[in-house]
Amino acid sequence: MGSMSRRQALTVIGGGIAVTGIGSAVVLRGRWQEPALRPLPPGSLRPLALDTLLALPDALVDHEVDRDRYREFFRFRAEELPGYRALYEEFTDAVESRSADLHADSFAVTTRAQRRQTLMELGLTPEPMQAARGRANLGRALSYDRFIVREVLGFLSATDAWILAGYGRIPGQPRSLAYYRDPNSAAGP
Amino acid sequence: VTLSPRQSAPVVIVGSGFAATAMALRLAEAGIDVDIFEKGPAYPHPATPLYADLVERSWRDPGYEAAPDLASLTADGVYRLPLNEERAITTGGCGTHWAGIALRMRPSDFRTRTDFGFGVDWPVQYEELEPYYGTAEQMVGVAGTDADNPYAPRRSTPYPLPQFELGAADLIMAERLRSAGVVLHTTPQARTRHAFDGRPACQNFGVCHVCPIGARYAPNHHLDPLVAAGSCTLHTDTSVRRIITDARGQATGLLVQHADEAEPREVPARWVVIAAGALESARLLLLSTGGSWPEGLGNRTGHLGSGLCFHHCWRNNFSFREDVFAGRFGGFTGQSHQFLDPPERGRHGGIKVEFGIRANAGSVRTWGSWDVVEPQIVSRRRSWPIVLCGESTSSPSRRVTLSHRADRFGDPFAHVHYELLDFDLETFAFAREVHDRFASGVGAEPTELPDDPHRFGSGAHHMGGCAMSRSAEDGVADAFGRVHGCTNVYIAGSSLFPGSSGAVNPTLTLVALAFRSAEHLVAAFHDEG
Repeated sequence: MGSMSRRQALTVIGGGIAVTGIGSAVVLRGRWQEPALRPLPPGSLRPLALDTLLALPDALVDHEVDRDRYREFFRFRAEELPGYRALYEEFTDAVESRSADLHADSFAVTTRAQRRQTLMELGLTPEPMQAARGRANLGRALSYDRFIVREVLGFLSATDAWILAGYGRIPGQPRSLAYYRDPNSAAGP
Repeated sequence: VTLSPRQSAPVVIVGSGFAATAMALRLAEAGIDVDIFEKGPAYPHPATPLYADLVERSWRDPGYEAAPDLASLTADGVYRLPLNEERAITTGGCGTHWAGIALRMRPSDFRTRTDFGFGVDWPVQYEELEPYYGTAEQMVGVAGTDADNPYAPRRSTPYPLPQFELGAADLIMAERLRSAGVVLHTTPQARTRHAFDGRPACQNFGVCHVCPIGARYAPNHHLDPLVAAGSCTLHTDTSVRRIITDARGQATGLLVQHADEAEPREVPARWVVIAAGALESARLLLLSTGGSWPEGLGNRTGHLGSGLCFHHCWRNNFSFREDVFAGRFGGFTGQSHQFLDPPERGRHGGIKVEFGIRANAGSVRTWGSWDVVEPQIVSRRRSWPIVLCGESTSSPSRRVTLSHRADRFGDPFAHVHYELLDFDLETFAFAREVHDRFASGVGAEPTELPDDPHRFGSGAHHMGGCAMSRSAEDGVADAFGRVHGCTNVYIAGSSLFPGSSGAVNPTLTLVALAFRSAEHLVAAFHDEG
């Protein structure tokens, strides 16, 4: 059950030629190529990589979130799905290097604003990066955006965003039937 | 092709979703064993592993559905959404993913030609189907009431479960809509308002498509015990490639092949039930050529594959100045059936209105400082998606044929061609009127339904393709789902529908029809001795 999903599968372009081993998106003959993960083996993350990744969600929304929620999210991808561990480790190295240059400190201990600045310096943009297609020198940013930032934001939108929006509970919890009927329950406990 | 006959149950069923399960249940009650062949893999029930994958990991395991080279299709025409992803080729079929809305069609939906001059009258009418609706409601455990719905059709049996009451936000909207002359009422649905038939009471997890406790019905709830009791043998990961017929055109068995096997094998059967969903059922019959069926089993008059219908679901998002906190329940609470049978029905179709479960609003697309993020997040509690589900009608221009692409065994996939008709464009115009009435009634910020009728979803409601008809000249199967000219092959499921199920969700109707067909099959079985 650990195989890659359809959406993670390598994209076929250019008249049926399979493009493999491409880690970042490319614009080929005017056609948009979705970034793809390298089919590298899954495995455990270095503690530094996990710390770096766990420092990402609250930086992206500039608000405290439940960091523990993301531990399993990142662990599962790194240890079960091909390509994620390598991408996470590579991302960590890039982020830590840039954070050291910019802030003389590890990404995880810098402020949220500093962390966002580090991400921007890596070429990441606040908007989804499909909008940046055609831009030169995107480097690895497209893969970081597609497989790290956007996936974190997707998970955050399905979880912490409910709390940040003022709901007391998030889907996935047994919220009880009283919860949806009580006009005063929205803000939760 | 190497054939190796084996002993099998007297009845073989293709597919394992709602219709297949209803048939298997009724046959088992009559002491008739069945073999079920499912192209997809086993699926856990309750869906606890998928729940954990979704909630803890934001991931969906593709291993719980058939591989793309076994279950795919091609399409052309106007439909823009990925049609293949609307299907669930797995044990339990679409019943593993459905929203749980369990509605009866209205009597007028069965006779649109007579009453309104469009579509085709069904060969079975509401009054004949009504008792089977009651059986279907018992099977899936429908929670509902008609006390607040003046548009509900007559019923002879009560709902098995009390209704899910309108939510706090629904009540505010219902009050506003009442002033605008619109009725918002509760939604009959296959969720356990309290414990029922071995299923625990709904706890409002809100991720119903992967309900971790089985509160929302899935066919697997009944399939698993049938298999455990030995009255049903379930063959997962097994594609049915052909229905084999003799010189008289009667079925003698199936040609099946496991996903990992190099050769197919023949499974003899006295009775065959095709319950593989609208698209796959038509495909299998089209593939089953030979002998007296050169154009496909049941296709002597060219109707096989024709008359495909989707519902046309147009969506918008209502925004409010004030907080409404929609989305606190996983199922559906408020909806309106007031526009199912409008005065000008015939020029256009009816519309079912429902407020969506989950707002798309509130997702964070642009990261940044809190002043950038907060407006995106706050929009969740001030918005409510509305869905206008439009009735459609059958047309030869919408059909299932065989594709130029083939599965791993070399059998062509289904190919779907879908167009919108003038009737549908008129229905869209009516949907916009209804939309505006709701927007004004609930006090939403000024908004319009996007002016593009082709921007619709089917609701994963695929109907027709193997239409039933009174006469063999007009369809593929008779009123009991038995293929015209082939007395031992039955079709079950929404593929039988001669048109759309009005504008209401098709599931309860296809289950009711399956029970009726099963009763017919049991009688035929015993007649044959």
